[in-house]
Amino acid sequence: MTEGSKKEFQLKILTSDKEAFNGPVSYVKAPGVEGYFGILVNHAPLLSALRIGELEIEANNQKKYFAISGGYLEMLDNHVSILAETAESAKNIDVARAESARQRAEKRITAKEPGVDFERARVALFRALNRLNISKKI
Amino acid sequence: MATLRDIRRRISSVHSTQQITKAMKMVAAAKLRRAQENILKARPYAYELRNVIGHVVQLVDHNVHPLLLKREIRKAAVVVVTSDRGLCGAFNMNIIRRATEEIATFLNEGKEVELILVGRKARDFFRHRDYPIISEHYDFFNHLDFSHAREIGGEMIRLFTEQNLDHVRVVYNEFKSAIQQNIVVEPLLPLQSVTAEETVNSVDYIYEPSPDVILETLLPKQINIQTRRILLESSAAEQGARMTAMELATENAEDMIHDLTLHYNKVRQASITKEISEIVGGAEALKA
Repeated sequence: MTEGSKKEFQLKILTSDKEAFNGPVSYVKAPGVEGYFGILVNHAPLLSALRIGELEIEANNQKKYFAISGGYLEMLDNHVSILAETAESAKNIDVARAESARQRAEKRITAKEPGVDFERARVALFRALNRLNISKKI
Repeated sequence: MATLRDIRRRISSVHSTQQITKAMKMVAAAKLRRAQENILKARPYAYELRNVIGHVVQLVDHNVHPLLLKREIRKAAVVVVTSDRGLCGAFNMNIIRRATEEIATFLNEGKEVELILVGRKARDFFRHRDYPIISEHYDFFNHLDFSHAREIGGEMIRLFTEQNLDHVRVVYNEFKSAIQQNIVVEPLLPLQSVTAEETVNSVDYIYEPSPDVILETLLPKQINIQTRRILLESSAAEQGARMTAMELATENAEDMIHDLTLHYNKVRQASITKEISEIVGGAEALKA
């Protein structure tokens, strides 16, 4: 594929305390609550809730990966806004922290002690695994 | 006439006041830096969310969610955001004056108004006046976090959904720069498009999963996030205002010390002159 052959659109990835990405991209794949979906230029207006998962984008013919944990995506007039709870690019993931979060969550789940919020532990485990997976995709 | 000792006492008193204002200025400057960082980090997300909500308001059928429903205003709430502490110039008085104007406008139109007071200064002012107060939130600007925004935002959402309020607007200081604050009156509920001139030429969205499921969490989030932004704006603006006020006070103290020192020296000289002429006069009298 020759350079510049892909049509681009604007993408912003924001969390409540930082801007994780802002620039033109040619492709976005996002973890919607009902499954992954892809967005190309001139996509119809879309408002979607996101779940924990991998966000894949393509900018300058290069793929980039982000770990996100829930949020919203809006596509309108070739502007995509992702309002995420958290978003880290693959190289910015704190692997040690994610690893310790994984162990903590696994321990809580297997311990089956009374008073442990099982659902919360499960979500924490999801988030940790998601981060660990994506951190390998630098 | 003031004796030398009186003036000396005055000078040292002004001097110690100056040391206090100088210290307060430095504390405000340090707090401002942190508060400024926080608001600058929070703005992009809050603005983008506000944009998205603006599109939603234009595209979505308003019957889908209660927070979008525009009703005839019977009862409105004015949220007055002030600071907990004083000594920050006209910061609080400007807000209170503006809020009073807003209240008067509603009352003139024959509408009921109730108040949500944020910050100790709003509470101190409005407590002694005959306005119905829904709630008071104060003493948290020192350790401001998201839970405070959620508490205030949740209250607005609840009252609006229960139809105890038909309109909510917020009066607050927006942080512009360390030396400048803007008074902003911002309508929060029902949700509306802030950038009215930008109309969306588009059909309704495709929703994943469905409009009511998304809006059920997205719309309350907008209220909480904007409330958080407003608290951060006010907090940064407050530190800026205090820094400016204390800088001014320090300068004024400097001027006062200068004037008093001049006066002190004049009085001292006058008394020395008087003493000399008394001695000379006495000696002359002895000679004669």
